[in-house]
Amino acid sequence: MHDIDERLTQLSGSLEAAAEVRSPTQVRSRGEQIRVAHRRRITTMTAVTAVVAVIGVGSLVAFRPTGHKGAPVGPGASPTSSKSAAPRSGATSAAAGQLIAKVDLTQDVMKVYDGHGQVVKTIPVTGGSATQPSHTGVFTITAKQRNMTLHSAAASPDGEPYEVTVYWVLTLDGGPSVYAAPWANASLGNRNTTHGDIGMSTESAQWLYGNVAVGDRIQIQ
Amino acid sequence: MSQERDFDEFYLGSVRKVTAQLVALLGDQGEAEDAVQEAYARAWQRWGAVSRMDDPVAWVRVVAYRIKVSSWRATVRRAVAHKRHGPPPDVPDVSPDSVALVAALRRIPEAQRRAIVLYHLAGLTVEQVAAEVGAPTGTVKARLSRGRAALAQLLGESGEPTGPTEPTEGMRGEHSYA
Repeated sequence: MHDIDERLTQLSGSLEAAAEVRSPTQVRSRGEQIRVAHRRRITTMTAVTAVVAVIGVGSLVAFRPTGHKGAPVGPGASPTSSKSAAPRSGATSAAAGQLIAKVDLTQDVMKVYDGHGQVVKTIPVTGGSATQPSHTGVFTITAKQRNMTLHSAAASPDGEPYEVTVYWVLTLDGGPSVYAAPWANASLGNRNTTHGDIGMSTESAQWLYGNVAVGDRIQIQ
Repeated sequence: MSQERDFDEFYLGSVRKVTAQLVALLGDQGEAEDAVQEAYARAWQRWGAVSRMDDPVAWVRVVAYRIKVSSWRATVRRAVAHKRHGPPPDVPDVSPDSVALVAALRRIPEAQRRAIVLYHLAGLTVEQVAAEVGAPTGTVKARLSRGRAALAQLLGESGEPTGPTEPTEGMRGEHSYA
């Protein structure tokens, strides 16, 4: 019979070895969903007044599956809340991780889709230049930030040093970031001029930011 | 970006320990893992504040524990979800001795269990345990010694690991968290 203290010490090691470790990105993603859900509750009131404006982009959000099965405010819980929450419904579908947009780097456009695969918006973009091409693949949106400061150290170790604050930023897991790049307006839709990230007009970036959720996926090809 | 790196390091560096402690506290691997993941998600949600705390790990542990306690009432809902999603995936084997010990922990009073887990598994001092559970140090010492005695008795009298099905229901029935 072991001493109890010793057995408890061994227990600690044994349980640690068996513990599940998820990808931290996944954990942060979940944190972002909570954050978005909180914001939704707060913004519901203002969103009511925005319903008319929402009809313009309604085709994007209206057909998206309203995931979030366990949520207290489920689909149809109350007509007011579900309707007014529409602009944010992308947030609730995060778990589904649906493909929301495709970037075509040869055409320099991003096509944004609704839940039925219909294109609801085509956004002119600029991607990574020939020397610093954008990573391609299907990436998950892991974070949304209204602004972010980029440092050349992280983005382009060998290029000209720079530091710039960008707006309406979508961070992709393992892929380039997507944000407003108004300085590159001339390139949008026709040339790839960035250090690898995806740039678009401020107006487009803000619209995209408001209509995608952490967990949605973007294909870059 | 560096915030994300900080958090990832914090998570990867502490999640195993916190999970082990919650498994010992709750007696159920799956429930402990769910509560722990949720607690880390909440930590990221307010990472600015949590990262500046003296002991962010303690924050996560307390939050995970509270999540579990408050979700105790959702047992019925969970049972339904369990049916829908099927059984949980296989977890790595823990040693028979660990299984017996976790089973024994489930059978001692919650306050004693918490003191023992924090002191022996989390490696806190008596003062730190007292701060985390909100009890005087004398009380914590008493809980520790009574808890140890109870464990020794449980493990001594059964000799062999307790049956795998028995503790689950026994625990829920005996200790109300409401």
